[in-house]
Amino acid sequence: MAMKTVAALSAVAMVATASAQAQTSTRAEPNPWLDCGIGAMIFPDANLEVAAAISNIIWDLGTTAVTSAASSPETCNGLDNVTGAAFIKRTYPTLETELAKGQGENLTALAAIFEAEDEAVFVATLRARMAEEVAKPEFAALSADEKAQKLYFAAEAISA
Amino acid sequence: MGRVLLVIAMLFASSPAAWASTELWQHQQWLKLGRWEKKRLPARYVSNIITEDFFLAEDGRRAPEAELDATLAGLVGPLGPEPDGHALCRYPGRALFLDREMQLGLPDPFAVCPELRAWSGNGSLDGVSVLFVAGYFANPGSAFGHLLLRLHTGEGNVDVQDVLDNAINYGARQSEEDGMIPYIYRGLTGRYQSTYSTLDFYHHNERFREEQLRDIWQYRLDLSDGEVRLLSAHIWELLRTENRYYFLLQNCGYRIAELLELVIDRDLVPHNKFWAAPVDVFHALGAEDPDAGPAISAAGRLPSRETAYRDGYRLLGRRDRRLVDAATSAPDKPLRDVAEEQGAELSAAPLNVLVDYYAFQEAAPTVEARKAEVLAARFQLPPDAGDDIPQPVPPHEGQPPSMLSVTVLSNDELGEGIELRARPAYFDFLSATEGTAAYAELSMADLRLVLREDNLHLRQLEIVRVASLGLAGDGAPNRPGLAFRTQIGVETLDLTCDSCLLGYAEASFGEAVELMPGLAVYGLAGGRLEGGDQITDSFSATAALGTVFRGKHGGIWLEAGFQQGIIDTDANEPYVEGEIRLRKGVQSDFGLTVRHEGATEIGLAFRRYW
Repeated sequence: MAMKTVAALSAVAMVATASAQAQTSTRAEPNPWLDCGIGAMIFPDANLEVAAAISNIIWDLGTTAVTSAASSPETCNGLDNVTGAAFIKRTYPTLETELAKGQGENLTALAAIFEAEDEAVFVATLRARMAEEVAKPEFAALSADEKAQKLYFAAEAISA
Repeated sequence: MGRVLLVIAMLFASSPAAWASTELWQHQQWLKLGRWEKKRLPARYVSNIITEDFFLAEDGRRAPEAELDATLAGLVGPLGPEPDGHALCRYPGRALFLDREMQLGLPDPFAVCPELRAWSGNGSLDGVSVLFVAGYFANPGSAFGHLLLRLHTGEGNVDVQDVLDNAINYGARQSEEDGMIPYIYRGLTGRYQSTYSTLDFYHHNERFREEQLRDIWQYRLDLSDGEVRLLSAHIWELLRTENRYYFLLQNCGYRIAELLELVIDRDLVPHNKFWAAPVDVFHALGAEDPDAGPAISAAGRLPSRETAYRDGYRLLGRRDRRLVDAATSAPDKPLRDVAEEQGAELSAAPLNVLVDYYAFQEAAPTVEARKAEVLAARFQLPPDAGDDIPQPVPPHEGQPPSMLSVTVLSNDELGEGIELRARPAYFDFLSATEGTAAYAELSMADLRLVLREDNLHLRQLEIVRVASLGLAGDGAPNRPGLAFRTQIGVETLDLTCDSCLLGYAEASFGEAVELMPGLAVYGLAGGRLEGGDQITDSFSATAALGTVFRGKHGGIWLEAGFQQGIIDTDANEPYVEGEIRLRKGVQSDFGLTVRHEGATEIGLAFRRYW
C-alpha cells in the first residue's frame, strides 16, 4: 500500500512535471508547484500508513527535482526548494496566522528550512512582504495553493 | 552455530565482566527489545512482532536466546562501504543494549549509520515526549484519543518546540478504507496489521490541531541521554515491523506503552484490564511511584486552533469581546465600521482572536473576504502573539477513565435492591476527567446488574453512548453546531420489571445553551428503534429537555422526556432521570440518583475510578 501510494503520487508528480515543462520556457524562476509536482502533492489524511510514506514522497519529489534540474537547469533549484515548498504547502494556514501575529513555531521552522542567518530578520522581512500581498484586493479570492506560492516566493527572495 | 560461539567466546574473552551475562537473553530489556512475551500453555516465549525478517535467527520469533546469539554474530562483522544494512544499523537498540551489558566496544550506531544519523537529527536528539491527542467524535476509532511519540531535537533547550521533530505513530494499516461496521469487526478480531511510522511532527500538528481541531497534550519524559538514545534506536528497529491490531487492547495506547517500558521501569501497559484507553498511559506515567521516581519532567497543552481562539476570547475585555462578536456575526459590514460602532480599537488582541477564528472556518466567499480584511488589519500592526494562556489541568490529574459503582436502590414497585455497575470507559456529563470535551459523554460496554431478593438481573448493557451538547464550556463562545446523542444497547423495558430486556438504538439531535459558566440547558429530539418481547411499537419518536451543572466539587444533571410510538400512538412513556454528584478527589464520588419510568426509584451510589 505504501509503495503503491508513493508510486502513484510520484507518477502524478512526474505528470505534473512533464506538463509544466512547456510552461517553464516562458518563466524566469523555477516553481516547485509546477516543476516538481508540489501542486499535485497529497498530504496524509487519516490513513496512518500514507502518513508513514509521506517522507518518502517528499524524497521522491526531491529526486524528481534533481532529475529535472539535471535535464533542464532552469526548472528546479534543488532539494531545499522542494522541502521548503512542501512545508509551506502543508502548513500554509498556520504560517499565515503566525505571520499575522508575528511569531510562531512554524515560522521558526521555515526560517531553518530556508537557512536564514537571523530568524528575526527573516520573519520581519517575510511579514512585510506578505503584508503587501494580503492588502491587495484580489488576495481573498486566491486559492490556498496560490497563497502558499506567494509565501514561498517571498521566502525564496529573502533567502536568495 | 560453532562460528557464533567462537565469536561470542572472543568477545567475552576481551570483556571479563560479560562472563556474568550468560543468561543475558533473559534480561527484561532484551525481552522487550524483541517483544517476546512469555506464554503459559505451553510455556514458551513468542514475540508479538509478526514480521519474520525482523529476526536474525531461524526461529528468532520464538527463541530470544538464539536471537541474541545471531545478533552478536551480526554485530561483529565489518561495517563495509554501505553500513545501513549492517546489524549495527538495522538493530541499533539491540547494539546499544548488548554493548552496555557486555562492553563490546561497538561503534556508536548514531555516528556510523548514515540513515539512522539523518533520521535522528544528526546528533541533536535530546528528549522524548508522549503526546495525547484529544478524542475525536467524528471517527469512532479516535473517539478515545490517540497517542504519538515526539523525538525532540531542541539541542538541550526544552522550550524549543521544533515542528520538524520526528513524530512516531502507531496505527492499523488500511483501517481508514473500511466503513464503521467492518472497522469494528476487523478491529475487535485482530484482522488489521499495524505498524509504527515516522513523520515530521508538523504533518500531525496540521492534521490534528488545525484540521481536526483537537488539542494535543505533550508529556516530556524524564529520561537520561542514554535512555533517549536506547529508546529512539529501538524505535528505528521497529519501523520495519508489524503487529496485529486489536481495537480494545493491543491498540496505539498499548503499543506505545510497551515501547516506553523499555526505558521506564513502570507498568505502563494496562495488565489489569481487557481494554486500553490511551489516557491510561498518562495516568500510569503520572502516578506516584517512590521506587521508580518521576517519569514526566513537564506536561503542557498544545491547543488546537479552535481552543486558541476560545482562550484568546476569554482573555479579552468586554469591549473587545463585543467587537469580535459583531465582526463574526455581521461579515458583510466593513471591519472598521464594526469597530467604530462598538467603540473598540482594531488592536492586536481582538485581531489575534479574529485571525484564529477565521483560520478554522469553512471556506465561503463572505468568510474569505472577512478573513482577508482581518489579516490585512493585523499585518499593519506590530508583532504581538498575545499573553501566555495559563496551562489547564493535564489529563493525568483528572479522573481515571474506568469506573465501578455500587448503588443502593429503593423502587416504589419492586422494592429495595443493589445495582452493580462497571463502565470500562470513559466519561459522562458530570465526570471530572481532564482533556475531554465539556458537556459531553462517551462510554463503552457500560454494564449494570441489579441484585434484588437474591436474584441477579441484567439491567442494562449499553454498548456505546456518545453525546455532545456542542458547547465549549467556561463561558467561551460556541461553535455553531448541533447537540446530539447516540446510544445502542440492551436494557429493561422500564423500572417496573427486572426481567424484561429489550434491545435499543437511539439517535437524537437538538440545541444547547450555556446560561453561565458551568450551567447549560439542552433539548433533543430523535428516534428510537427497539426490539424485544415486551415491545408494542418498535419505532418511537423521542424528545428530551435537560440541564447540566458542573461545579468544582460535583454537579447536577436532570433530564425529562418522553417516548412516543409512531405506529401505535397509544404507546408512550414519559421519564425523568437525574443525579446530584459529590466528588471526593478524582478517584471516587457519591451520587444521589432519581429516576421515574413506570415506577419511581431513588438510589445512593458510591463510585470508584481507576
